[in-house]
Amino acid sequence: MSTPSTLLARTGPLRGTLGAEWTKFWSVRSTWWSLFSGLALMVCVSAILGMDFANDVEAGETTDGTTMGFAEPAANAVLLTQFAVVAYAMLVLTSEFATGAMRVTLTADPRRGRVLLAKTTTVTLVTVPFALALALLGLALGHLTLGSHGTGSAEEQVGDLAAVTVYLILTAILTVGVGAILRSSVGTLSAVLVVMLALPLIVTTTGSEYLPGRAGLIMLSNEQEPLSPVGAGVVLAIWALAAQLAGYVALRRRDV
Amino acid sequence: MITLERLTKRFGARTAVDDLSAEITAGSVTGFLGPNGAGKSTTMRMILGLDRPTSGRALIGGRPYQELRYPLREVGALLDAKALHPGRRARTHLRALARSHGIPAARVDDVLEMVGLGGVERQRAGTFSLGMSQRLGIAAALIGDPGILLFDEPVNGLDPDGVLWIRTLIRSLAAEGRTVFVSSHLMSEMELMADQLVVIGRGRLIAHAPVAEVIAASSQAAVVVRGPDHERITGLGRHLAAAGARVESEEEGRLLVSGAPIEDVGLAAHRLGVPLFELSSRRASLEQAYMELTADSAQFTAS
Ligand SMILES: Nc1ncnc2c1ncn2[C@@H]1O[C@H](COP(=O)(O)OP(=O)(O)OP(=O)(O)O)[C@@H](O)[C@H]1O
Ligand SMILES: [Mg+2]
Repeated sequence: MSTPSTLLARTGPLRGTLGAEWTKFWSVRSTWWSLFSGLALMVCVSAILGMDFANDVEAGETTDGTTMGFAEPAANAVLLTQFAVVAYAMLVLTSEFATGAMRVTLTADPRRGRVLLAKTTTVTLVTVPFALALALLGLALGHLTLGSHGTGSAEEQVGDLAAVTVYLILTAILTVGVGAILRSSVGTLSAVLVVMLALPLIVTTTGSEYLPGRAGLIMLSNEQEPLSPVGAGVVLAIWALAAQLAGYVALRRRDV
Repeated sequence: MITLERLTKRFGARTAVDDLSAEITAGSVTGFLGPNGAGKSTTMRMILGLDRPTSGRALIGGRPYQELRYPLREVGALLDAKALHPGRRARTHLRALARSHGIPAARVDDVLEMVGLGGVERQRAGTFSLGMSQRLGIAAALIGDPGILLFDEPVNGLDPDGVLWIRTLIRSLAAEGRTVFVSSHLMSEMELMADQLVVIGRGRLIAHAPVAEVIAASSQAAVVVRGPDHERITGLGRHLAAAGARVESEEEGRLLVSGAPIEDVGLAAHRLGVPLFELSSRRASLEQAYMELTADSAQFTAS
C-alpha cells in the first residue's frame, strides 16, 4: 500500500524463493533428524560390513576372495543410508502438501516451476556436501575395519567416492520430482523404495540397466558391464531429470 | 481491486463456482456470504491462483495472480490458519515469507507486535491455539503491506476480544484505502464490518450490493404505523396496498408496511387525515435478509 522504502524488494523472485526455502529447510526438526540418521546409518552399516568381512577372512569362511575394496562397505551401506537423504528431500514438498502450507508457499511465489527449482536447489545444495561427507565417512570406516584385507588404488577410491556422492545427489533430485508428482510422504517413500531398491532385485533382464535402480547399483558396484559407472550415472541423471519434469507438469496442472 | 469475470470451477460433475462475475472495490470491506459449500473458499483460491478456473478468470488490479512479481506486496491472504508446518517457530515462518520478497526481518517483528504475538514468537506454530494461529495467519497476510486483503473466516476461533480486534483491524485496513474481501458465517459480525456484500449460493451470484441495500430489501424491513382509530388505519392500509406496498396487520390499529418508503407512508396518512401515534422504520437484521436470500440455495440443512 503505502510501501515504505524498507519494504521494497531487494531480491529477485528466484533468489527470494530460494532464500525462503533455505530458511524453511533448516527450521524444522525433521531435517536434523534425517541428517543425523544418515550419518548414523553410514557409520553403523559400513562398519559392520567391513568388520564382518575382515572376521570372515580371518576365520577362513569367505567365499568371494580375501580382499575387499576400501570403498565397498560404503557403497553397500549407501543403499540403506539413502533413505535418510530421501526423507529430507521428499519432505520439502510432501510436508507442505500434508499441512496445506503449500498454499502459503504458492501465494508467495505463484510460479510453480520456480518453486520446484528453489526446493530442488535447496536439497541439492545440502546434499552435495552431505553426500560427500557420508562417502568419506564410509571410506574411512572401510579403511579402519578392513585393514590389511582391503584393496584399492587411490584412483579407484576417488572413483568410488564420486560414485557414492553422485548417486546420493541424483537420488535426492529424483525424490523431489517424485514428491511433486505424488504429494504424499508415504507414497513418495514407497515409490522411491520400490524404484531404487526392490525393482533392481526383481527385474534383472537385459535392458533393466536403463532403469534408475539398476543403473544406480551399477554405478555403485564399479562394474563395466553392461554399462560403465559413468554411463550408469548418466542414465540415473536422465531419470532424475525426467522425474523433475513430470513433477513440474503435475504441479502446473493440479490445484493445490 | 479484484475482478471476477465469469469465474467457473467444476470438480468433476460438481460445479463449485458458477459463472461468477463481480468487482470488489478498494477502500471498502466487501463481505463474502453463502451457505456451506457455496464456493467461497474455492473462489478465494482461484483469486490466488491456487485453483485453476474451469473457465473465466480472476484478476488482481487487472492482472492474473500468477503475473504478480512480488505478490505479497500486492495481496495478503489468510485461507486456513492451521495450514503451516507445526514444527516451525512462528517467527521463522514469517521470516521465510519475508525473505521470499526481500522484506527486512524488522518487518516480521512489527507484524508480530501488530497481531499481539510479540511474546510467543519463538513458540512452534503447532502449539498455537486456533485463535493464535489466526493471528499468525493475519500477520503473514500483512507482512508485505499489501493493498488487497483476502480473509476466509478470520474471526473463526477468536475470543470476543479477538473478534473486536479483527473487526477494528479490517475496518482500518479499508479506511486506509485497501481492498478487503472477507468471508464469514457470522451475520452480526458482517453487519458491523462490511460495506458491500457478495452473496453466493451453489456457486452462483445471488446479490452484490451495499449492506444497507441488502438489509432494506428484506421482507422483514417494514414501516410500522400505529394510530388510535382502527377503521382509518385499515383504510390507510388499503390505500397503501393499492399503491403497491405489502401491508400486514397483526393487531388492531397497527400496520406493518413493506415495499414503501417511510416518507410515502407519512404523506399518505397526512392526505387521508389519519391520526398517528407511531410512524417508524423497523430495520431487518442482516441475518434475516441473508436467510431469505439463500433459502433456496442452502445445500446442507437439518430437517
Ligand atoms: N478439491 C476439491 N475437490 C472436489 N470438490 C471440491 C474441492 N474443493 C471444494 N470442492 C467442492 O466445491 C464446493 C464449494 O466448496 P467451498 O469450500 O468453496 O465452499 P465454501 O463456500 O467455502 O463453504 P464453507 O462455508 O463450508 O467453508 C463444495 O461442494 C465442495 O465439496
Ligand atoms: Mg470455506
